[in-house]
Amino acid sequence: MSQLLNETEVKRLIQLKGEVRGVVFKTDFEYILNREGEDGLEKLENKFQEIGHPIKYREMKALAFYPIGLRVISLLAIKDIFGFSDEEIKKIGEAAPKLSLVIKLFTKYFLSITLTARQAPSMWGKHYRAGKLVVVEINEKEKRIILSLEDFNLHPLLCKYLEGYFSTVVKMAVGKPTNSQEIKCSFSGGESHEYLVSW
Amino acid sequence: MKKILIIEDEEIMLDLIRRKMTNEGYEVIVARDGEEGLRLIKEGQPDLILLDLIMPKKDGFSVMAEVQKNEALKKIPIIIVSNSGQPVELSQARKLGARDWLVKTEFDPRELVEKVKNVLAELGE
Amino acid sequence: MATKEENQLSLLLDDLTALEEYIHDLFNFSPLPICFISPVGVILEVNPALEKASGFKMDEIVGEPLERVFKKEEIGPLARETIKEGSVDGKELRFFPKGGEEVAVQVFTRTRKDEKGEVVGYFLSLFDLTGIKKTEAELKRVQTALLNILEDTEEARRKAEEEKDKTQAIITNFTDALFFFDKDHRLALMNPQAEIFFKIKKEKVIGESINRLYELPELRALIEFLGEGMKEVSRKEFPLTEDFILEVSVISMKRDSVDLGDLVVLHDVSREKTIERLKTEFVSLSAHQLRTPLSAIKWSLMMILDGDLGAINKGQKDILEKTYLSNERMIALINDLLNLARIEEGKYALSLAPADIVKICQSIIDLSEEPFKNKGIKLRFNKPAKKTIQVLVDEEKLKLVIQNLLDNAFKYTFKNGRVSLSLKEIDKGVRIEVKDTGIGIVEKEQKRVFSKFFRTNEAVLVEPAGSGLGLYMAKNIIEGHGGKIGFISKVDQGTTFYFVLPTKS
Repeated sequence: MSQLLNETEVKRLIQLKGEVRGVVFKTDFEYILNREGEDGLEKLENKFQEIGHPIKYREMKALAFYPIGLRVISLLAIKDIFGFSDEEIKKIGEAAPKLSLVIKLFTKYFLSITLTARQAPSMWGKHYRAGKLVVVEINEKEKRIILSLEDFNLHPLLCKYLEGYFSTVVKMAVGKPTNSQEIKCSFSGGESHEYLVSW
Repeated sequence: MKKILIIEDEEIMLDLIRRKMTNEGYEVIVARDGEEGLRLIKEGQPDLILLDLIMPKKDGFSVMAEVQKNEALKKIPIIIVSNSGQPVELSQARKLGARDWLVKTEFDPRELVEKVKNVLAELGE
Repeated sequence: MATKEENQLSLLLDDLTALEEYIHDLFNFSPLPICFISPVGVILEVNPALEKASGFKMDEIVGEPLERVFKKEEIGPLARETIKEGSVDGKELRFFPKGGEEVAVQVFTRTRKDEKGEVVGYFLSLFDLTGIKKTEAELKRVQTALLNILEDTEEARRKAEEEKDKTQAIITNFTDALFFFDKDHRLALMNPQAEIFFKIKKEKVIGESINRLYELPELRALIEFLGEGMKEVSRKEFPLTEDFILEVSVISMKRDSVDLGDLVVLHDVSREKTIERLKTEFVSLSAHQLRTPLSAIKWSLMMILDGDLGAINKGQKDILEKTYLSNERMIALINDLLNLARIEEGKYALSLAPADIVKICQSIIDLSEEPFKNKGIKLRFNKPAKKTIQVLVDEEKLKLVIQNLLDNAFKYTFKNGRVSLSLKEIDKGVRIEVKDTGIGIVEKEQKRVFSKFFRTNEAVLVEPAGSGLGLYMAKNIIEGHGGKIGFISKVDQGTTFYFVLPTKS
């Protein structure tokens, strides 16, 4: 049994306030499916079964809302079962926008980073009913953007995930390779999570 | 003296042969064509006939044919003295009773005399 | 929340999900590579077909600019046109998949607009033209090849037509009559001249068999002449009527040992035959007429020289002797001309009969013994193993040949020389050789030896009297028998004349 996902932790996570769109699980599960095959997917699905919140990849609804805690559990389970490093988790985050249906609904804004950035809060809102995403700074000339995520302290693992996630979103907007880094973190004393993405 | 009948239409040949035969001591009578020749055979009763083949009025072959019909006349020996030498004619002449043959361009007077002597000798003279 | 609203939402959600799944399935199913591009040219979404085509996995390529797989200078204008016009249909571009070679593709784009009509991005699909291009290239190649073949065929056809026309023209205008019988001995072709010769229209006879043609009075004689087997002949005489004589040749036409049929060519030699006959008659007659006075001169001279007409003095004797010799030469010439006329005539009508060649040779040897002995030349007859050898020959003419060869040997060999006549049986024939140790024939004159009237200078010196017709005649006679004549000679060493005769001419 894992340290990360004991019963207590699960209980705590389930209680967390907020909801998340099914699409995040879709992307997680799809990543695992691509990486670890049907077997891996089955393991992951079984885990959810175990904790009493069965989610089947093929049955779940991308646009439905689910308890936000499950989102954390998903990543923890993945880390647990497959032994992913933090960098791996970041990679899951990087992949997610590419797989996400919801993102697709926003692609019309991918004309420029500015335009995209303006949609950032809305994009966040469509995924998560918790926390708030704002753009702190956009500097097209210097090719960087700073995003700030407030009121969102579910689990440190998510920070890595989101690093990857934002990296890709920006990339999709600018079409260039991006670097993403969490420069401030709530878990280490910051007011919010701040992510610097440059290209 | 033996009598020789020369039947020859070529005047000069006739003359030459007559002279030669006379010189050799033969009595000579002459005819210049086949018709006259036949008459002289019947009338003259020669001991030997020197006969040309190509002649007017009657040629040598006709003369021989006529002679053959006559039992008495066909005994008279005939020597053909001619210009041609075709084997066809030769065998025909032989059939008609000719004893010997002489081609004028190949033989000369001396040889003729030889032949005459031989033929007459053959007859047991 | 009110249940009704909840239900409505739930239903909407279900519908949305269903829709999402439908789109997803459709997108994933499409065998055509499709992607969705942002207005700034970033690849936002790709379907599995595009993953396959590009060699990039989805997470590798999403977020990448289009320049990743297209050339900037090509995709730029396309993107601009897409946004401007709303779509691009079938533009040919170069596509660069991961780690592979460039591929020719046909690109299709279609923009998506929002409710305000703003372009939010465009779909891009591509169609791999490789197959098509290959096929195109192949087609072109095949087309070119076919065209070449067509051209060649056309050329060949044209040539064949030409040839056919030429051949047709030749056949039609040929002054000889032509018949062509196919391999089943049916009459396949007949030219206008044949119609004239045989007084029959070709429509009446084309296609008929030999047997049928035999029944037609116009052609009976010809068919009889040709015989059922239609054996190959060369220039055989065929008198259609007494005055109309044809020379017939039958040629068996074969190609690659396949029997195509027989060609019968009939050449009108009536005129030639008539001329030949007239010539021969003329020569015969002339010779005969010439002989008469010559024999008279001979006899006259002889008698004068013998003294039958009186004595002559030495001077007269001299001249008369010379005159006599001169006359003899004339006689010899006339004889030869006469023989020649008969020989040339005889080439077409040798009277062949079975004869014993050994006996023929022996008879000539017997006649020649005395003169040879008198001149002091050793004469020998090399007899064959067999006592008799039967041959089919014109005996008289053959004798002339052997006599002529021996005469020559005699004339041109000096005292104490040697002459031999050899007779040998060979395969399907006989070979006769007359060898002498005489003056020989000068090399540069050798090729003219068989020519009419030809005598070498050396020969004339040795023997002034000679017509130069002997060997010409001999050649005629031997060849008329189907044989061959030849010689080997070396000056001052001697000559060997030889000829071969087939035992069945």
